[in-house]
Amino acid sequence: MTNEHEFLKLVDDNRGIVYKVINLYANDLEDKKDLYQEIIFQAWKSFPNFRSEAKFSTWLYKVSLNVSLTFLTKTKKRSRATEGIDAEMNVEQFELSERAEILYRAIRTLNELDRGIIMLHLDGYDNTEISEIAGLTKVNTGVKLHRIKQQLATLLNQL
Amino acid sequence: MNIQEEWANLSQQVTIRSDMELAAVKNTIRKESSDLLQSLKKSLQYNRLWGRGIGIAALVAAFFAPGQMKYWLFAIFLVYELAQWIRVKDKQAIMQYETDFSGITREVIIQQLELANRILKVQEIWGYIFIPLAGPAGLILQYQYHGKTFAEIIAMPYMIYILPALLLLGIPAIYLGKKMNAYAFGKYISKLQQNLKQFEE
Repeated sequence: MTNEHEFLKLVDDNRGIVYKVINLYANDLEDKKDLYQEIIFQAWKSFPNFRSEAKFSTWLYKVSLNVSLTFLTKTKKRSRATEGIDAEMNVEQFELSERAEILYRAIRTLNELDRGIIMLHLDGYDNTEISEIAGLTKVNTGVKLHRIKQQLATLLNQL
Repeated sequence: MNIQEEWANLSQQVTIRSDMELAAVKNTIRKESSDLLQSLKKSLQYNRLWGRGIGIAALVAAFFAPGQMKYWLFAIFLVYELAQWIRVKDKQAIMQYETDFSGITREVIIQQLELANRILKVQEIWGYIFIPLAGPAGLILQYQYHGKTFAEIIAMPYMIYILPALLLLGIPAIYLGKKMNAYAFGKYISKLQQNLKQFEE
């Protein structure tokens, strides 16, 4: 079995996947950290079920999406005091370019399942793979993708 | 806007940003989950410890209690132990249950929802049995502590009304308990239900 260090190395090599997911599901920096750690925790726990014939990136994508879709963000639970700290930290954070920010905001307006579907699609997964990951029929995946693309196009025209 | 191109661009920028934001937490695996299901499991565990604590306290007190109070305390111990025993397998199964998050998304959501509902159901059943009994049992024990027998307590004026009234007071307490659970875990269950519904839309 892979040890913790090797596992973290594998995650680090594929961290872009987790980053994309948490950025589209978490509401603030503290939520992002919490969700990131929860994904890594659940991935480590499920890692014995990972079969080496599968791609680690696809497996990590599945774990990241599943954790995010069942994770309740704690934004509202936090006190106003920590909001000040978050705001302060946001000042120093890396700003997305205008076009990237527009696309990011548009995808975030979609419902949680649709966010996952469009993310997988944009990252090159075909309809069969998406339906297998999500548990949708292939036809339903196609219909959803068509609708999501239309919705995004409308949103991007408005933003 | 070419969405595919912008997505690649966004992905790169998000990686740079997240590397900065998550530098402190990136290379560690936390010891336990922070999700709400874990809180539900913990609450179930406390519930079990709480029940066991009351049962054992009643048993210890039974050895030192005077007169009939001894039997009442022993009966309380038996009821609590019986309740623990009836649900023990169910509770153990729940506590040991772990979700495999690398499974199919729809199935993972269904499993989480079923588990959350099952945990809340166990707590609810526990409440239905013990909350209404707490008032009358407490009153009887208090009188017995002051030397009264059960027959004397029952024969006291208005006791025939007081005991059922105390029993009925359990209803608002059960309602309050349900409200507290809904406040604590309702958002989680509603999120799972909402996400599951999105599969059908």
